[in-house]
Amino acid sequence: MYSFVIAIRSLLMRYRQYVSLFFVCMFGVCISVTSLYVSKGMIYSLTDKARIYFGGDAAFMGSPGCSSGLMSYNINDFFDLLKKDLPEDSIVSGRLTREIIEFSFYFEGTELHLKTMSGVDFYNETNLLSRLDFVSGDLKNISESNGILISKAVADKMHIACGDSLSYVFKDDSGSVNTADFVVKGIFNDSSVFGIYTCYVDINYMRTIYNSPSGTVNRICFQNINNEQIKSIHEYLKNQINMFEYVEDKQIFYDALEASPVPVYNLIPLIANLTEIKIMQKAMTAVITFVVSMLVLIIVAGVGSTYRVFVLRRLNEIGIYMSIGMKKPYIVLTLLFESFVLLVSGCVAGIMFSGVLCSAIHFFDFSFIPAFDIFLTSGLLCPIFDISGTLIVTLCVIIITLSVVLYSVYKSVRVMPCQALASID
Amino acid sequence: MKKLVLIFISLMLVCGVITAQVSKEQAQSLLQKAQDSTAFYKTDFCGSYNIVHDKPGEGRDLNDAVMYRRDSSNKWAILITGPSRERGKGYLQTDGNIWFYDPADGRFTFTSSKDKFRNTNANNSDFAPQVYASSYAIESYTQEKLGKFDCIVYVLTATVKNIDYPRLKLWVSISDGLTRKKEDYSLSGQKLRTTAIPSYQSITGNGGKDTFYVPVNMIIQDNLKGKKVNGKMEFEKTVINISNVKLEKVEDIVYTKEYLEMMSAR
Repeated sequence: MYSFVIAIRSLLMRYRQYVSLFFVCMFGVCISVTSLYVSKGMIYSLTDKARIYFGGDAAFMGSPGCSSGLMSYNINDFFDLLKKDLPEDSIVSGRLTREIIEFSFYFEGTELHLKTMSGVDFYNETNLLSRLDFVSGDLKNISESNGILISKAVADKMHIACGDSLSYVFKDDSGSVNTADFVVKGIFNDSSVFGIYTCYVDINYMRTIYNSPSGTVNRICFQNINNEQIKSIHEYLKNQINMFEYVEDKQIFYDALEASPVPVYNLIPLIANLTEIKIMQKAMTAVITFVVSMLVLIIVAGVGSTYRVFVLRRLNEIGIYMSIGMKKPYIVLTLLFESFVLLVSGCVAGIMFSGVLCSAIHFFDFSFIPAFDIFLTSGLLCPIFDISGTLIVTLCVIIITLSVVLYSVYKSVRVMPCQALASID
Repeated sequence: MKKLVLIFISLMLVCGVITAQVSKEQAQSLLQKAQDSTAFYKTDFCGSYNIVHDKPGEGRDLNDAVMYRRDSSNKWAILITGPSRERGKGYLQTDGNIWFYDPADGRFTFTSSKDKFRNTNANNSDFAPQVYASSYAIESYTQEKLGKFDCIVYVLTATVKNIDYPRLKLWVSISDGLTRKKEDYSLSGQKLRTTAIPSYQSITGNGGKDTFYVPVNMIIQDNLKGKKVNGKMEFEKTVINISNVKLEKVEDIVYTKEYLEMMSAR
């Protein structure tokens, strides 16, 4: 108890000496945790976009066998099977996704090529698709219509506004050249690789224009299920149909399709579609870890070395403590308390200042940076508080610095009281 | 008396209408004639093509080419002769495949009959014999006047898959069985292209034994691609002028890749 009181008193009396250490700790922790929050926000934004693009947390798809491609099938053949034992709030919906780069849209005579057309069940995917950042229009009245959602980048390039009509020229399932009219019902802000050249249309209208039978899908998407539930469903389905092994890299499944002589199915989790993103995520994690490590080292080196000098200059004080009967462990404890309070206050201030910094970052539009939009939400960085990362950084700073301080203090208290008293502050 | 004259004239008109009605067999025969007029099975074809591609608001692209056709073997070759930056490029159809040759990289690239010719509104298939009768069925036909020509207007539906256009509307002049106008439609009935052939040139070929009719020019309008100019929608247009037509045997080497490579090197 006395050690703590003496430590606080000493801190307050010598606050001028400790101010610089406090700020070193504060800014070091601030930058470290801000980096963590920003990177977490970037990954979340990317994953959110991917979730909209891929239809949810997992997708059930199949291949006819002896083929490198996926097949279309009737959703009703699998729907009841897939819905079994699912959590109550989970949503299952079919999608019909086609690569349409070779086909054309025409608006007022100008030709436009998009990469992907996703026929979605707007009724079941309202919650998911409402996460699109609409700059104009919305999802109202798009279900069972010829409405289309396109990205803002494409709309701006073609001077398309909500309500405009697009003519789509394509080849249907029978190989015949066909045309269809779409009305732009919504324009969303997404210039990432997922959204910029993707359009969303009603699945029934898409089946009609492609002359596909009713119920045709090429993937059944799941929302609001976690990895454990995905694995559980996968295990259940293995007993019902010919399922490929559970993979977290969809390319493994795609590469194996040609070798299968019979139809094969799989339940692909969202992370399996993000293999390239995982590499990027690992790289970001490595960079952030390096930055945080360097900052922690700076704090440790700064505080530790400076504190060592402080302790040496306070040998006389230590001698007085010894002469009045304070045991060495309590002297060490007193000095450690000082640095502990300094570090904790620095960390807390750093975390609080990080909150201010993150709020400020949130106001800047970073969409001008090419290819960076994939990490943004509506053009803005959205840092996310990471409690575990914060605790790790804080504990690292405190424990490592205290260890260095302990080493310095321990060496100092080993001197004889008379030697300590003989030293001058 | 006046009444009698009126009745007589009406009767004559009705008779005229009855006698002028074309039977289904006649319509099919005329359609076959229109198809046959686009092909030269008895001889080779050689002609100079001047292709003008008009893009509203963007100006014109001009291409000159020489075309060789041997329809009996389903072969043709096109050698681009102008402008200078395009000279030496060429197309070759042989063994059912169409190749595009670019002397810049010395490579032949596989292309398709459905692809556009030199990014114009003409398809590669426009330079080959047409398949109105063999790949289409007559959905309906009517008689109509197109300018000074009495035409049968056919509405044709494709009977084969993987064809350029699933529906056609074709104007064929009754007197000579030549195609005067064609409209290409998608499956849903949207007009995609309009081709007009205002006039033909008659050429004697095959050693003077036969007379063939070759378009003087063809005007192809894209009904989707275009631009708004002064608030009015104007569509892209390609005009193909055909001249210096010869209908006589051409050396076999012309229909080979080596010929294109050799001509591009000059």
